[in-house]
Amino acid sequence: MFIGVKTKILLTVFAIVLLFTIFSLLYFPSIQGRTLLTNYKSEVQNQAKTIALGATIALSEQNFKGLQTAMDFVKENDELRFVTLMQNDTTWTADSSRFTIATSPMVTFPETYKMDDKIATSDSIIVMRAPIQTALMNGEIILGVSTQSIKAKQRKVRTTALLISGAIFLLGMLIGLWLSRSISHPVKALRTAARKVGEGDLTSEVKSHSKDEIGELAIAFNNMVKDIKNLSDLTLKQEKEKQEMLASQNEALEKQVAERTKELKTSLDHLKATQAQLVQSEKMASLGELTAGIAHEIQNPLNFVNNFSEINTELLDELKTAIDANDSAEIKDLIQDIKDNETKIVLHGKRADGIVKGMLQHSRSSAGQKEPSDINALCDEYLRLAYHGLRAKDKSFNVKMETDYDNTLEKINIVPQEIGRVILNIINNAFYAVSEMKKLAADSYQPLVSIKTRKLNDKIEIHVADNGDGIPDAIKEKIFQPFFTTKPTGSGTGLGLSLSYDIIKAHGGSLHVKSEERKGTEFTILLPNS
Amino acid sequence: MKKLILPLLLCCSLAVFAQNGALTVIGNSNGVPSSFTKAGLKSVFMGNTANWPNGTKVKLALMKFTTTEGQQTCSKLFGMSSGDVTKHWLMTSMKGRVDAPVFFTSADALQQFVARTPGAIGIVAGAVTLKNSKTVLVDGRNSF
Repeated sequence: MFIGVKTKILLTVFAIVLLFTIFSLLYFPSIQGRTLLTNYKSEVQNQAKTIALGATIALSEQNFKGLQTAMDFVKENDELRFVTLMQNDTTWTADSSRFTIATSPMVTFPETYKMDDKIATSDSIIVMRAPIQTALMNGEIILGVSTQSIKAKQRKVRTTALLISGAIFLLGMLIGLWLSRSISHPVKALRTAARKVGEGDLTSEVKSHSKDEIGELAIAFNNMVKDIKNLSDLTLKQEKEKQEMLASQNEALEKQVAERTKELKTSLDHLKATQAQLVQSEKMASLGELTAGIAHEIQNPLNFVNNFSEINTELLDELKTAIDANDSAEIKDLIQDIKDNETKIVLHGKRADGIVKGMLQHSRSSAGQKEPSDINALCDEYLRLAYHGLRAKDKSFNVKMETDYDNTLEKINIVPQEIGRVILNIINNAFYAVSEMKKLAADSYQPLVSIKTRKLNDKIEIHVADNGDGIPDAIKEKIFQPFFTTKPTGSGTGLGLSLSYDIIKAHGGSLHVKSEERKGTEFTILLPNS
Repeated sequence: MKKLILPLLLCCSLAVFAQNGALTVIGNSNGVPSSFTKAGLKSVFMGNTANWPNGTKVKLALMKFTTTEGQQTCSKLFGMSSGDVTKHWLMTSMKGRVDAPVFFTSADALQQFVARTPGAIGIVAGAVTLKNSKTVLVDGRNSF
């Protein structure tokens, strides 16, 4: 629960005032009343003593002036109930053997008062006694005074106390209100100003006219705010200068960046052009290898077509001779041979036509669209193309090729040209590795390249292995980097494996390599079975 | 020399008067009646009269009871012991109806008091010697 300073001060003052009020209302009248009673008793006692003294003087010196004065003084008291002179009389027995002392009232004022010699102080009357001892007589003065005036005075004291307490309470509460206001108002003003300062308003100022600690606090606060403002202004100025400096630096930097960007863009354009050129070179290299393979494929049926056409030309010459010779049997044989050759020509022409159509089909569907493809057929086709491509360049090249295709493989959705390019690239690398190994190894070395496909749960695997020289560990991590190659300058672009890696990734698959120096290398292509 | 002889003679005459036991009542010229009966005089000196007939307040003057005149006054006027007279005036003073007598140790002082106090009456053993004073007759005599 939040209790403000004003409330706290007010409560404190209220508690103090209340305590003081209770004290002045209860304790003070009680003490005052008792003091009054005590003083009054003492006064009555003194009066009794004075009368007794006056009586003593009167009895001993026949001077009654003091007694009369004392009595006149006592009689003026409205609260006087009685004054009695008691006499102690000695009464002897008849034979004078024993005596008794009896106390009896000698005179009482007022005379009408019925005196009881055993009277004592009570709630309504104060009774005081003063002894008289003279040669003439022994006795005492008994003075009785009503407590009515004392009670009236006590009531007056209580009433006065009540009024004073009320006034004190009222005054105390007013002082408390003034005090709480005089403390809480400057404190609240300070709080408000502090909040404004906290919110960033450094123009707020506390107005305090008091010259006490709170006034000093207000002055200190104002000075502090002024200092903060000066500091803030200085900081803002410095900040502004810094920002201006930063802006100019930024401008210079932006200019530099723009220049550099321009340079970089130029470099990038050059690089892209170079890369495109390299990719084109790679494509051209691949195309060259493909072309070589394709040429070999087409060359074979064309040889047949040409050979059989030449044979048919010769057979037609022989047929003309046989017709001139009217050798019907020979004519029939020659016609049959020509027909057989024509059949072979048609057969090999169709074979070439099939190859060309296949190439056309490849070129038509090379727009990067995925289509269901037979991985085993693709591997086999590109294995042959690679082999014939290499053989076209190097007639001495010879290699043992092993294939192990998983017949349970189903067609999967791929871009066949791209996956074929990957397979071709890896097989070409394998052929290159074994041919290089062949140059270095002993005669007993038999180059071997194998290709194997396997079906896994949701993937298919394509393994291409060779028994070449292997890849050193130091460069194993670099082989997928663009433009990295171990081939002599001009023989490779260094983009083959890099592009292959990107193609396999784009198909949602992965490409791995395992290699051991002097033993061989195995590439594994993993593709999603979908 | 005359100043010394006259008081000396007065004292001697008073002493002779006292030894004879005769008491004289003297009164102020203002208010005090010229004669009393003895009973009336006793009543006055017992405090029963507060004012003289002309309204002047009664002022009593007596010789102290320790003096010869005082003792004679008790026996001749009051017929009581000095102690009883004292007690009587003690009680009377406390009641406050009248003023108690003024007691003197010398007749001269008493006479001077009576002479200067209106309504004052006193008892001495001697003749009236001062102005404004007079001898009050008791039962028709100058002394009793």
